[in-house]
Amino acid sequence: MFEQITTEKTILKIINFNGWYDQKQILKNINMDMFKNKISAIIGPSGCGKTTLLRSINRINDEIPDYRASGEIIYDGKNIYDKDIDITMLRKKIGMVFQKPVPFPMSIYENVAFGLKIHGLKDKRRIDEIVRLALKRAALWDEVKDELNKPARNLSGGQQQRLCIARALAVDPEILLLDEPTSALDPIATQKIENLIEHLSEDYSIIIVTHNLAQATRISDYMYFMYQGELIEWGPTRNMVRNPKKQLTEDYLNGRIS
Amino acid sequence: MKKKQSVDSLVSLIFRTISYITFFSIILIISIVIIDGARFFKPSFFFEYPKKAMTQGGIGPAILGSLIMIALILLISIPLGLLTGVFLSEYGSKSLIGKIIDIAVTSLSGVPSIVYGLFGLTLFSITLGFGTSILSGSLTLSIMTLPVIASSVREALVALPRELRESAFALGAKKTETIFKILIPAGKKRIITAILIGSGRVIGETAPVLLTGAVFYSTKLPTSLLDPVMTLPTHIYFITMSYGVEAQWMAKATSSFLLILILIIYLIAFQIRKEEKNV
Amino acid sequence: MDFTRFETELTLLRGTLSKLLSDVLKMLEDSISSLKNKDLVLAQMILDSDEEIDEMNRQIEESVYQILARFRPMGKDLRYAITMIKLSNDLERIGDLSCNIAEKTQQYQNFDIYEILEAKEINQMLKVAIEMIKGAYKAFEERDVDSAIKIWKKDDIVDELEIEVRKKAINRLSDPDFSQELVVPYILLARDIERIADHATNLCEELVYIEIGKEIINIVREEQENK
Repeated sequence: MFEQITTEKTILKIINFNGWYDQKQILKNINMDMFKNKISAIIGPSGCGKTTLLRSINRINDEIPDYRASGEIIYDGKNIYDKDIDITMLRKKIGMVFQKPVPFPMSIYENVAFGLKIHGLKDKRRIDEIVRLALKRAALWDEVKDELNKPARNLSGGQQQRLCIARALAVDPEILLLDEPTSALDPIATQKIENLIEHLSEDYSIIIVTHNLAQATRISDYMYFMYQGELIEWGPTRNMVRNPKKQLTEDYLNGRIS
Repeated sequence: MKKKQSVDSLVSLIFRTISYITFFSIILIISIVIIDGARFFKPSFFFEYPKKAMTQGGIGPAILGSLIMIALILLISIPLGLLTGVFLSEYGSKSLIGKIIDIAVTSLSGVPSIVYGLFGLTLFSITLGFGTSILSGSLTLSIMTLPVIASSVREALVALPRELRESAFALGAKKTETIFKILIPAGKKRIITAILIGSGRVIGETAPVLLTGAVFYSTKLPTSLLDPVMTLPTHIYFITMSYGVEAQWMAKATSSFLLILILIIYLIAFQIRKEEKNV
Repeated sequence: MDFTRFETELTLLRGTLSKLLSDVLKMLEDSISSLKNKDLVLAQMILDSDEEIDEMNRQIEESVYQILARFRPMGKDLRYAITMIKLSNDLERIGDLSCNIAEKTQQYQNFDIYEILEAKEINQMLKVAIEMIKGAYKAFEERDVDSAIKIWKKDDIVDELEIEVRKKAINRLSDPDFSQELVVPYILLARDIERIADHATNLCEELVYIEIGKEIINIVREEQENK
């Protein structure tokens, strides 16, 4: 009845990881494992570093000139911070969806096809097929199948966010990073996306940052609690809600810190 | 309570009155210029050469000249302005060279146009030997338009949400791909608006063209870039300065036409901007 | 699978409860049969299986903790979760009482309790008690509120029967043919069965509450007022 950690496959291993913005240390000696086809939620109060940690996993923080990191993140047998890592391939395997739905200024079809085209896929039929599949997986196909050539801007907020998910899925990632994916959405759209995330975890490993504790307990299999740059505690969600090992964790879960 | 209300409505009344006066004055001026000149509009006005010391004929060559100039100006300043704007927004904003360009771009917009004219005259017409020509004129005016386009491109790009760039990077796109396939199309409307407004301003620039590109009369249409050209604003200048009363109809008509052209350009620009706001 | 984590947890819960229900029913039937047939082996098996019953009860409780902590259910889901614990506890008690009966098999192996078991009151009570639990099981599986209410009403029968048993027992005390040492087991057995029926009644009350949020006693009162 309780999930045994030993039977689950590790997909990401973070070892002694530190991160700095300029002189300020945001991440302090983070050590954790994440598992395949599970939903892992990184939780904690504002400013605890959870988004910075997430963004270090696909190295999108590289684009920020002041960011510096030390330590290792092991994925697929290699440290992703090694000098000879191909960033383009890394980002193909580890996709990301942001808090604010940002459709590209093109049609729905072109949005989803974008990733494919920049990775060199030219066969139109393959692209059509993958676009259709990605939109189906993102639970958006039925709503847009007759309007693929219309501008993506015209979709509602919740639809746009699902489009962003489809866009990320199109390049067939193994891991999907979600940065507060529902915080800009209304409750109904949020629920649709949560359901979607739960289904997606059958095929993808999902790492989600959320400040919504109820959301984390509802949909995650593992929770990672961060506070002021440190990883305080992590483990299977069902254990953490019943018996948090650290007082700080318990305080956060009970809403005594925010 | 009542006293405050009446002070409030008095002030509001004053503001409104002043605004209306300003508004109507502008409308009045524009209307007078347009109507006064538009009565001379007929097909021959637009296509024929001026004849008989500007007392008859039309401003065909001047219209053509202005159009050629605008085309060249845009041809030069759009790509350069685009690249500069992109550089400022995406690459260099914090480096030393970025800061220098930033300052340059901002200051260039404040330089009086006659100074541009002098600069153009010295550099293009004399030093580089292009003489009084379309080339000199358009190069000079390009230098004027460049900062406008560069700033607006930069502003359009900087206004785009960070997540837009990051979504593209997160898919594995390279920086250049992101800029040209996503950011610029996303800022398209603002950039086009800025280009239109820039064109609207430069089509009416007189001083620089006067010094570098225009002649008051040419018998033939320009055949090469090194030929001089007639333009609408300089034409107005020449008529009013050098010709008699019988020729003034042409100046009025040209002014009217020029103003209408500029208004149309601005109207298109505002329409595009309004569309963008509604999205 | 097409389930959310919440749905999975609920399904797990329902499944465990279902198994608990059927296991306890079997335990009860087996305990009666062990008593009738003086089957000591069966009796021991029943006593051994009590641990499993307790374990399932614990699992059900744990599931409910998870559901409450993680999913913050409201309305019917909340009633469901909390009532599940009650259902589980009642079933666990029925299990314990069945063990009591199995113990009696051991205790009275040297007695001839044939007469007690043939007593029509005891038989009636047993019959009704088992019917109630079977009925509750069916009502749970099929979410059948009306059956649950019907079964609930039978508790009165069992109570009356138990009173009968006591009266008879007291009368028999003065009967020279009746072996006095049988009186106590007679009364105790009747009491165990009456308690079992009581818990079965609770099951019905809980089932109805889960489904429609009302208490049987209020429903029945309304029925009588409307007549």
